[in-house]
Amino acid sequence: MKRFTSLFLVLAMAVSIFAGCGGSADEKKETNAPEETTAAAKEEQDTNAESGAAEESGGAQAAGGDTVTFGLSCAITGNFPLAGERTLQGVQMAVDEINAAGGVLGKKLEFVYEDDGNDPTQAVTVVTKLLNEDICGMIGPHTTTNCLAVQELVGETKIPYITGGSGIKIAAAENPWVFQCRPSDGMNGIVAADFAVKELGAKKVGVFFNNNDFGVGGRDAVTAELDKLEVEYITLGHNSGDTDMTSQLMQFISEGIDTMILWTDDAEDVVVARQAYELGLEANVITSAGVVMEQVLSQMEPEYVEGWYSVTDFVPANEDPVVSKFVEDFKALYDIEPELYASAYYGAVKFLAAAIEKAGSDDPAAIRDAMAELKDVNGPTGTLSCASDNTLIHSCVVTQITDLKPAVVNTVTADFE
Amino acid sequence: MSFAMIMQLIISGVALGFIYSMVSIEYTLIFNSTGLLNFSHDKLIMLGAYVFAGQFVLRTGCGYVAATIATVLSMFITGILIAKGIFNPLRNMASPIFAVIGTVIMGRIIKELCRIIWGATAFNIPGFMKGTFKFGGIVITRANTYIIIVAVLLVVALQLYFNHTKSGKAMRCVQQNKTAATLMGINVSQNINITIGISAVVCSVIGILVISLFSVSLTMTNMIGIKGFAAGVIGGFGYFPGCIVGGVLIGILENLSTLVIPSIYKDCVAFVLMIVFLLVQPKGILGHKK
Repeated sequence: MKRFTSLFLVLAMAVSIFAGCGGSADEKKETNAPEETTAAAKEEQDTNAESGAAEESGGAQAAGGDTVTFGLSCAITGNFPLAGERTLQGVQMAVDEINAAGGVLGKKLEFVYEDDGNDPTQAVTVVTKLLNEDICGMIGPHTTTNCLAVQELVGETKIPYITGGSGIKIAAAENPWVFQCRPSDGMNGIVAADFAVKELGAKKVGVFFNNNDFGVGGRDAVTAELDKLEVEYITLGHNSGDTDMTSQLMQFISEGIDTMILWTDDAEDVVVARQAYELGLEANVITSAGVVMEQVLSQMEPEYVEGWYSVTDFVPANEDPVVSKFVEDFKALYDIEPELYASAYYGAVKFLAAAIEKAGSDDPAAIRDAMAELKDVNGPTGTLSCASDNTLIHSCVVTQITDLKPAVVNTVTADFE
Repeated sequence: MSFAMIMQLIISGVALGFIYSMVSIEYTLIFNSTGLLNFSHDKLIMLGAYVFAGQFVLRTGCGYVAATIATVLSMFITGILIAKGIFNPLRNMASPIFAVIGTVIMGRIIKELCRIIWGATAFNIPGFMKGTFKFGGIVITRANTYIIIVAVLLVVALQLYFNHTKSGKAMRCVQQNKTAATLMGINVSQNINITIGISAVVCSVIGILVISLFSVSLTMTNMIGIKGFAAGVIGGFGYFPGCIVGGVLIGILENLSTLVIPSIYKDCVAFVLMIVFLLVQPKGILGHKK
């Protein structure tokens, strides 16, 4: 009996160890998801790396060399490989455009990239590696969690860093070397609440949030604004990966809400949309950015999200000339529509290049100072101007979905100093 | 909090409960025949969904009936291959740990294969099992109706098979005593192959049924895998009627719990219940003894 018990304990331990490894390996080991583009980009990286190495061996000569190099960290593998693939495509396109127009400071702009697997631990490793290259600035890692993991390291090395993480915590860290190239969740939440009350005339709002950093941040921004507007609201949460929202939606229905503000991620968007339709929730719906992306809409039936609003940074169907030109060029190059990540990081590269020009050198400290003062760089997600808290984008769009196609209803620009 | 709302919660709880029940049945089959737990069972459900939706419906363009038959057949063969590759060679090793680790690793291989073959983006079948039935103020989705019907049919079919066919009876012999079964002329290894094949078929059926609810993605079965395990413990481990009772109980209690506790703690209900049962009534509700 004793032998059996100890055997069972060993078994249980082994399984739990394996389960533990499973989680992290999950994000690290996945490879070659975006096959074609990755292969093409890998070649690019090789050539970039070679030129980087050549510069390094020259030491101080690097500044006088004929290329300017920046680092890129994005999730090619892991649980969010699509974001990394699009990021890489957007960055590559921006770099090609800049070089076709004569480069920066009369030199060729190049980049070295690493795969962070959308995992904070791996992000620290690859960023350390990138910071040891001869780079003048860094773009990515994406997401608030990854950004917070590496921001101190980047600050200590004194390299300017642009991230697409939109969390409020990034600005709160007050790191002068970190810049945010997407509208902050604080702002999007306020815009959603304002739109609900002022445009849709909401009297009773249901705030439905994902119980993670992103969802809770959004909820706090929305409810603070609703408090200010003195509108009645109720908040309900769900967990990441939940597959049944009946109870929350039924509570919303029985409370008689007229508007639902939904702050959640892609997979949960799909579940909520389907069940809200099936249970017959009769309310206007305003959601966070993810729902307008092709990869989310393709999982739904048109009637689930008909008439839904979304507060987002980017939709391809925008008549703004900067956006439509970007969409056209991107389609011509890759034969797919660009989305959030491609456009945000395309804009980030344009901003970095403008800062290098303004600084007149590829010295990281000079570039950072130039970034902090840089205003009015046009990008597909809006005009990039650096505010005192190092956020670059101060506008977002409210879109409405009709027959699974999002279209711009309203562009909102916030005041900033 | 109206009567309609409580009824609605109970009904969607029952439907979700039947999914947990089927998950529980699927690994109970393997546990009974080999005495081992299949730690890759949730990945097999996911594989079933990918084979049906990704391969047969969307790529090959089969009709739903043809695709279901093709999926069930290919999953049965997959199950037999798994039995031949992992369960049979490893079950007689010095420790059961070899086979258990084998299944853990197999789960990872299945997941990575799905990503490589069908891509990392989640997808769905447009219009598949769409629609609702309405009774008064209560809504029942078509998918949930199918789930309940199929789960009931499945249990009846399995009971008939195990009690009234020769090979089913042979399987029960193997469950009870492998040595005696061998002495009676039953081919234990072959028997295990077929049992695991049947388990894989049940997995594929679950996979097909949950497509319209969860979308096809690499993480679609994470939660039902664990809750199916809890359902077995609560209902009575290793006993089919117990699986059904445990699963439905979890489904209903989980949904009703949101009336008194915040909805984000809904998932705790199944696990708290499981721990309570392990401490107080380890045999489960039906208290079945082998």
